[in-house]
Amino acid sequence: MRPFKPTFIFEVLPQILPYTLVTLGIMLGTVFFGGLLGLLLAAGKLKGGRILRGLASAYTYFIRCVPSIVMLFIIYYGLPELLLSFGININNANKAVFVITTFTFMFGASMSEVFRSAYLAIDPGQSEAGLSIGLSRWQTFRRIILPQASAVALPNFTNALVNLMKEGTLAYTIGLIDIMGKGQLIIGLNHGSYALETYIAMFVVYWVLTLLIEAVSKRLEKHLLRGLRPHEEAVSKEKSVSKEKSVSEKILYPIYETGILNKLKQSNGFFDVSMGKARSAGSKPGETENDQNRFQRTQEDNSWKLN
Amino acid sequence: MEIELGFMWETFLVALSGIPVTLKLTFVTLLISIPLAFFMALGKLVDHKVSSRIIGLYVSFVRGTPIVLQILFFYSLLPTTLNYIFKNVLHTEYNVFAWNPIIYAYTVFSLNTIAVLSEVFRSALLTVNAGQLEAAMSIGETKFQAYTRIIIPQALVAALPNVGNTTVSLLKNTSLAYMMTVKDITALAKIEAAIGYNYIEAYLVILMIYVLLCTVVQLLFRFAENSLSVYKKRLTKPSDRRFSYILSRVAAVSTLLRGV
Repeated sequence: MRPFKPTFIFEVLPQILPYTLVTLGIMLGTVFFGGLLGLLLAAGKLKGGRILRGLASAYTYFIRCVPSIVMLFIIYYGLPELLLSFGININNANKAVFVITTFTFMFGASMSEVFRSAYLAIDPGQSEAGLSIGLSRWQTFRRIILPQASAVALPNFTNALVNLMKEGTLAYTIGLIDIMGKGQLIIGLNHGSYALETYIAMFVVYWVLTLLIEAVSKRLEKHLLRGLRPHEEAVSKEKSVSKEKSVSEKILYPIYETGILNKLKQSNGFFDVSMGKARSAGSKPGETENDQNRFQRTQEDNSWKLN
Repeated sequence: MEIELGFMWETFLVALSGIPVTLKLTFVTLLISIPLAFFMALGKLVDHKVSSRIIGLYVSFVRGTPIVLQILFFYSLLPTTLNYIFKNVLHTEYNVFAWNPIIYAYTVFSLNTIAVLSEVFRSALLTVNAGQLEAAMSIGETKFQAYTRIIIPQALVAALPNVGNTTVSLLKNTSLAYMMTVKDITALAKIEAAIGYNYIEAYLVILMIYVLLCTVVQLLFRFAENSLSVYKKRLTKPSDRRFSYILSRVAAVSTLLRGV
């Protein structure tokens, strides 16, 4: 077995890195077209009649069940044939066209859900309030609804975007040269050797990209939530902190419990010891004043309860 | 554009024989992943710095990198490493390459699913109110009893929609098992298609089968959800209703988060 060569990872990285632009370009194109499709689908689900709503939901359901690779190949083999029957020849088109088309269909479905949930998350009172102070419909949407809805949509959008990037790696199977495609080419050029090192380099690139996307999204979310009044922010922070606390309390409960129990046991022990001493110094239990008092008190309590 | 229906029917029949493999992949992976993911979720919730760091790193890695890459990496790493271990460390003449490649598929899909499910279980455990544990302890149950009888059953019901989503995406991901030379639906249909270059028809057949399987899985999970969440329907106090409402909201939002 050929020994593992970690330095090769650093040799491959600079060769792969430029192709990040291809991956990002594909993502950008998909986000644009997929976003438009998602908007249409979300509008259909929210405002459409029975038929439109049904169609949009059916589409989302259908796409949810289809593996990306199957969709990719159907588009790759099917789209040119389909367009050829209309007299359009795209057999020589760039591979990116097929990839973007495929993932537009996939991404559009998830975006429709993102848009829909964001729209539904905003209280109708917000737009009513906007209209009541004399803003136009567009102004209300642009200044009141959109900033709030985008803050709600952002985490879901980020999730969909990361998913898109990960699924997008399948594009290499139809011969697109992005990060994954370039890595596969390098492995091919080396006749299959240094495959592990190349894969690790690709892991690094994708992982860093994901972390970057998530970091940017987090910053953006903070920016979008800046409209929250300070006390609201404080309240939400407090809530999250108290929630966090209760969680750790819940999980650490066994430790708390044993601690409390130990303390209780110790104190009980202490109490018993002192009582025992009192008894040994005096005589049998029940004869000391303390015990008699206690006995009477319990009797009184019980009689009170019985009556 | 012409679609050969006769070929599609033949491919459909061939691909049907791949369904057991796909289901086996999904089922065995879930069987391996669910207990491990559950313990991982518990491990992350305990405020132990090192263990939760390691688990966090693992989850971040699996969720931050494409599954195709994971498949390719482990499929090129595992067989040669195992072979090396058997030949040079254990000094046996055992032939690792004779193993069914489905073992590697189980490994990769489990590694992936454990990470996803551990997050699912973690959020599910967090949805169960801390008061539930306190109540159970106050009536004299041990911590173990409280967990097994009170917390975990509720957490599992809360987790069910997300487990369903994970199962669906796992089912879809098994279509990549052909890269590990596992003969599942996709592989069989592709082989059929290669003979006469009927790729469109073959992929349409695969698509139909996946939609069918996915529908069955979702119906099963909906049935399980309905029969397991009976206890929620008895709740009458407003505070309890609010709790079940929060549960359903959490489930709905995380369903959306999973996306397509």
